[in-house]
Amino acid sequence: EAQAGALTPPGEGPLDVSADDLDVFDRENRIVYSGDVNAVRGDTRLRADRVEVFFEPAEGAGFGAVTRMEASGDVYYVTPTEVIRGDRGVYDFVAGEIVLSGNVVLTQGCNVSTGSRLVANLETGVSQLAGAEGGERVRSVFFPDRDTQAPAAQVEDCPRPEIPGEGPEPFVEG
Amino acid sequence: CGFQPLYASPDYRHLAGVEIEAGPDRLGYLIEDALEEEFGAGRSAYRLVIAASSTERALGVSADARARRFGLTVGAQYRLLHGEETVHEGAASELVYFDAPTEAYALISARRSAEQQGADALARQISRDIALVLRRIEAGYGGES
Amino acid sequence: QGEPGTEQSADPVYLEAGILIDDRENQVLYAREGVRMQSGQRVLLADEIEYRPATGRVIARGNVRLFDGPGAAQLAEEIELDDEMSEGVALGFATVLENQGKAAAAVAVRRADGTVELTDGYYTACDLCEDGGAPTWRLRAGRVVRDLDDQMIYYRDVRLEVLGQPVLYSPVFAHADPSTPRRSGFLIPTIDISNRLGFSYTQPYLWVISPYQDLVVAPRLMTEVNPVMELDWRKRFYSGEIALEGSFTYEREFIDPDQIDELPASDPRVFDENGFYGDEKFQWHVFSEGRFAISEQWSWGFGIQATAEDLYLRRYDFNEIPDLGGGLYEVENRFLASQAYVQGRGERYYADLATIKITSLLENFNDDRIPIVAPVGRFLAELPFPAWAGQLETDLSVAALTREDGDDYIRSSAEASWSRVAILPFGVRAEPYAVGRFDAYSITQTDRFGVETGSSNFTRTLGAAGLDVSWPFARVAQWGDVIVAPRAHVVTASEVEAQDTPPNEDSQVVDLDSISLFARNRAGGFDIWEEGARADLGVTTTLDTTAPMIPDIEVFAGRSLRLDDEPVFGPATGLGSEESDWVAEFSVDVGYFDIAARNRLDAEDGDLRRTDLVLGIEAGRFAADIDYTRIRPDVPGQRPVDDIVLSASLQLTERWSLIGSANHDIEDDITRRALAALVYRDECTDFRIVFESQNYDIGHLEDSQSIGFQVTLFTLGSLQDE
Repeated sequence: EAQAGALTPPGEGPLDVSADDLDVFDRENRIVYSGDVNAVRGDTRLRADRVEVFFEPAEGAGFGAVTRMEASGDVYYVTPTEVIRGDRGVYDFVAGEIVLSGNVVLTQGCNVSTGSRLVANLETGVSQLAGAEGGERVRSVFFPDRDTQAPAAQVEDCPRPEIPGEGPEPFVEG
Repeated sequence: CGFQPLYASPDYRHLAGVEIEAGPDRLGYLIEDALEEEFGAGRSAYRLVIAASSTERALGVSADARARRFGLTVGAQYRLLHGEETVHEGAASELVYFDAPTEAYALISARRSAEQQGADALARQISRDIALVLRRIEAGYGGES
Repeated sequence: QGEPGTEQSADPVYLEAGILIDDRENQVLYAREGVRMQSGQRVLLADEIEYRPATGRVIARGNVRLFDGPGAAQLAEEIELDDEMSEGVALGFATVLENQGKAAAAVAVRRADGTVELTDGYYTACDLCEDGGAPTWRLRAGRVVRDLDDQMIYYRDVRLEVLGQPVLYSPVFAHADPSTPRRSGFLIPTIDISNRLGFSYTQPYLWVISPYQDLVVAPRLMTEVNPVMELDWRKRFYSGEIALEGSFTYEREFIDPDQIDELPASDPRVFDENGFYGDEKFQWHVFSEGRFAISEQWSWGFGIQATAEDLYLRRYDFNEIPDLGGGLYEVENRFLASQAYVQGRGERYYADLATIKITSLLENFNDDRIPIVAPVGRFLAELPFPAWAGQLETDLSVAALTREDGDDYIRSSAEASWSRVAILPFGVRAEPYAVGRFDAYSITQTDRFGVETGSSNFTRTLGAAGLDVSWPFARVAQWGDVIVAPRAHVVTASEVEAQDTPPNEDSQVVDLDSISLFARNRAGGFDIWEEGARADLGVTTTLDTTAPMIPDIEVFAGRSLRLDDEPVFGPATGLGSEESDWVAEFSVDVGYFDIAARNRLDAEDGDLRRTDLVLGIEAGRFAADIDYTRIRPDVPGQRPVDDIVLSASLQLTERWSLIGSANHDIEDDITRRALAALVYRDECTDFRIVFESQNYDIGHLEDSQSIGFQVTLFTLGSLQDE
């Protein structure tokens, strides 16, 4: 199982990626992880069957800063308060933005929303879920009397969605 | 020159004994009875549904505000059905005039007699219209007359 | 604001939208593009919804529609509610109440119990104009509260605005919530001005006694005479319904003051300068009817038509032809009839039995000469008879007339009639028939003092046999049909001995036209029996086109010939001689114009004895109907009739129309009655100005001219359905 070192993308915290296989394409400044890929950064995690990581060209050997990651196949983006699932995902470090598309399911505690494209802006904390053009619309259900901001772990009657693979469960607070 | 006897059409004979449904009141009975007499007795798969109504107008109102003559209009909307299928829909009306006698009971009797004559004339008009429609269908001009 | 969250766990909120924006920083959700939000039974539709799950606030913006269960939608530009959407504030709020009441407001607060409080709101039943234009009428108020508990809408500082202009002001006003069934309350008043009664104001009050019973009490205040109290009561029972209309006043009688000096010296009445005479007394009228089902086929009923003074109805502008108090028999023509009856109608029979008390409204008419008709009845039935052999029917009847001053008359009859229709070869339609009748009469003559001066009882047996033959031909084509229909009716009837001739109570008017020509009983009653043999001949030619512009034409000519004996009817009937008058009738219909005339021409000189003419015009916005009647009886002493009745309507605009009608007596060259009305009608208002004039010689009453104003604001205090 290939382990990669911490990559230091812009923004706070190292990026730690683990996967079954790893292919490196120096000249294209690109690394491809495949097989139960988990990219962890601070308290957020991106899981997918296949992730391509793109770097800036570096002057010397090795790679410059990580600019973008493209994930595909059962993509999950997990934060302490929500789990977002999609068919494909793009994590753009420069723009500080994550885009998940294709059968997107957003779960926040007991509240669940579905749509076809979600854009989450990490600086502003604003995420926008949209339906397909002229097709599937956004659908949500909210449970007003349940405090949806409580840490996901404590909301017992709304189990968190299953995330495939053996990815780490890093979020159990002290 | 193309003239055919109206009642000669075989279809018309199938109307003998047509089942007739006219309103629940006196006028309904009179029209139903007159139509049964028009079409004659027999066994028929046809059904005739009638909605009858009558209105009256006072004419020749003179100095003492009394009418000298009345015009009674007896009208009917009717539908000829064969089983559930509507063969023909139509409307007919007859205007029956009668003088107004000065005595009250004579006026009652005159109004009832006008109603009876109106029902008989209406039945005759409906049966003639239906015979004409059947004649037109037979001649290939469709039902509308 | 109500307390947030209710006892049981709140319903989940379902949301559907084009875009959902989750701003975690400020903990707010924005839903946009055709948003639909549902919580329990409440549905909120809007262009955009801002939802704060933590505080439960919901703000909807952009053609907001809030449905609270199946009830009417509440519309607004912007609404702020709690997330159970039960309570909140709406801006630019309008709610459509059932049956078309609409309340709109700048700011609306909606309580948890559903009460809606509008500030600077208005109420109307008219369609809300998209362009914000003023509806035909609305009630604009500083504060409007729609209270669901007592089903009322309350206003403070309310103005009635017509087309945006304030017309009436009141500090406080309330009316029933139109979504609720009928509620007691004041109805819209009517105002009339007439030369006889002066200015009159009628203020009806509806008292809803129960869902099946209501009473309208309407005092009518008038400047020239004492007030009249009008009542209108209705009650519905399980098997039937009773309705009653009445009025009463306490006043002296009056005539036209200008006609006092025309009165004969013998007239005992003492008049004041306004034409009033006699002393104040209680005057009234009652029209009532009830009808109840006894079984599927049988019902019984009654009708009451009575008034204290012959001229009471006419003096106070009540209609002498009552629309209540009818039943089995209508008499009208200035007679009133009270009756009780039972009626049965089955598949094969019809039966009725009634007693009738008739009074006349003619001022110097001896009512004692009018008989009490008790009983009068008829039983018609089809008897079982083999189908191939034709139809057999029976007709049993009875009529008993009892007079205080005049002859009593009792008749009972039993009739059996047979007929059979046969379509012979070549389409000849032959209908032989036969009638047998037995009459029994009992006549009692009395003089003016009620002393019996003679009586006679006799019976008679009558029979008749006839054949009715018609042989219609039709030439059928695409553009229409031509039909020639000759018809002959030959009948021979038994004689009536002189001593078996009763007084003529029920066959007083006979008039020859195309309908009575072929009628089997032309006399119309039982007392006259047309004996002897006669032949009635006639031919109808019809052109019936499908092409619109080619007129439909029908022409009829016919006459009746006595084959023996003397004629039974008098000369005025057209059947007074061996050869009857000629019947000549025609009708032409071109769609927008139709005319039909039925004429009787004198047998000898062909003079026009009688014409009944009907003319109809329907051209675009204008429609008119004319009835012209002309009678030249060749009997001395009978007044000729030359009379025209016109009614016309002109649609001025989509909402304004002008209607008019007139009865003009050409013989005396006087317009007996004329009416003209300007009518405005739209989806929420019916407003009429009616001018009417009457010109009769009755009881020396002044010819009356009156102008009436009737306003109906739908859903507001009106009984008529929209």
